[in-house]
Amino acid sequence: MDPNPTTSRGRAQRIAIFNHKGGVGKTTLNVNIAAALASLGKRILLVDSDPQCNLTAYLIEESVVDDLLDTSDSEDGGRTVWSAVKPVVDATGTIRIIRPIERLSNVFILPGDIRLSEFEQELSPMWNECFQRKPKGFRGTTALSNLVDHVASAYDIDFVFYDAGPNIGPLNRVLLLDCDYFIVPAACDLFSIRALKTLGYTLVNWINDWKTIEELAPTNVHMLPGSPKFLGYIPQRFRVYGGDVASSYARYLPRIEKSISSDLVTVLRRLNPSLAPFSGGASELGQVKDFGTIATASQTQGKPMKDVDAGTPGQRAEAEETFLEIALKIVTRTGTV
Amino acid sequence: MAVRSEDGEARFSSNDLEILNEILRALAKLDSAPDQERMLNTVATFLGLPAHANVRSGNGALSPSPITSNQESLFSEDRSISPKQFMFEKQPKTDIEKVACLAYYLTHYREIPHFKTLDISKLNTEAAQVKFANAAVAVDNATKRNFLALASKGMKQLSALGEQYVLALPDREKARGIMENARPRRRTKRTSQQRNQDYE
Repeated sequence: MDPNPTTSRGRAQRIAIFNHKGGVGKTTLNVNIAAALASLGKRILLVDSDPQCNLTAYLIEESVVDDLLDTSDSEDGGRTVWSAVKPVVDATGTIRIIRPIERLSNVFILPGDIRLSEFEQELSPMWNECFQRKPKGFRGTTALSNLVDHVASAYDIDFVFYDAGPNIGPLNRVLLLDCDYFIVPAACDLFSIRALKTLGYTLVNWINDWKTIEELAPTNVHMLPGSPKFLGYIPQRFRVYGGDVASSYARYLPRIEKSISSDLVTVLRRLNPSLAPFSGGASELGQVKDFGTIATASQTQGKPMKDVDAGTPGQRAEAEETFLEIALKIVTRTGTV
Repeated sequence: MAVRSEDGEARFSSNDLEILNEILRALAKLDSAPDQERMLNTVATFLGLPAHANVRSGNGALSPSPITSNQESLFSEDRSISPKQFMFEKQPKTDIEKVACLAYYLTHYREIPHFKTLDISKLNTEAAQVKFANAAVAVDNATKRNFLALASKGMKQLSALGEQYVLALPDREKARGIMENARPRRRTKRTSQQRNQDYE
């Protein structure tokens, strides 16, 4: 049987926080935005699709993560994303449904797995098989999407967040094409700006390729939506002195905005104007400064910054306000008020 | 909700029948019996109910995972109270109290009287609690506070004090009273004046 072609995507909005430059704070954003959205009464599913499993380690204790990874290969006991897609990789069947783990209130996680790199390797030939109209290719390419369909509907999820790894590999390609929206975090440094230059072109290539696949596709196969919209960008990791952004970081903020506008929004709009509904300063979802101690404590304690046992009450309140503003913008822009 | 007749047999209420009809109508939309079976098993898996024993797998059908001993250790299937609900009711405030509550749950609801730190961590994850910064230290501290005692092969077990303490929660006054009663009475040092009085 083909991967359940009748599966509906459900009402959950799927969002990837994506930048192929590493260390821009993708995982930290994922957790804190998810917690902020949960505080607004939304139900969130976090999907750790990075073989480094940073999101999983953020929210789940190390010993339990190790145990999850040790048992992920077993036929029945596996609880990671790899356990779900393994039958597809092994060509023994379709995805195996796994239950997510509830971590924070109304925040669920599908744990990542180091073996997702094996899935990623398989995704390259599967992508080519899609061009050849082979069902196996579609089964593999849409496996993650199919899993999320089931979990999101069963758990009545409002938002799905994919934690993508820092690369432009085949795994990120399929998860970006499965998303309704994507958010670009950008650190205030030279390398982030350089990465933005290639992001737009990469996305356009992926979307175009999938369009071709869609045109060639046989009927009755599960398809990815294939048109992720740019929801906004978030400049991060800058220092603030006396209420203003420190000068060494401040000069990067207009450069990031310019690069987003010319290298991402313009490129996407050339393909389809609806892919980038927001441009210029309006596409900024918020600014996340370097929260220092509470950011580190958030990772070690597995809590959002607003709830950590560290820093000052003022710092925590500021973090709460920052992420709540971003969450409200996400809710408004996606029309899920 | 199902009501019981005088002979003790469960009967459906009108609300139950309405729900049942809705489910049957929805299942009728699926083409074949195996598809319907697959859907029911999927629902059972998601709700954490014991899955149907006759689950197909590896035949290309989208089948839910059968419940195994491994899953049982992570995700309880047939319990009167879930670990999350138990923790919600007990409202532990510190890591030490959390460890004691989790140890109580392992002992009484999972029938695991002897456990390792990993068992506590796994249950903590299952109970949707915030992760321990350092689970080993938390378990160690709970042992120092006499909530846990040593068992064989480096494992731990819930002590009598730990048991009483968790039973008292969420009543913190009662819990404090138990701790005070359990504290060994300190001998006050006799002053030289008292000693002299004794001699006299």
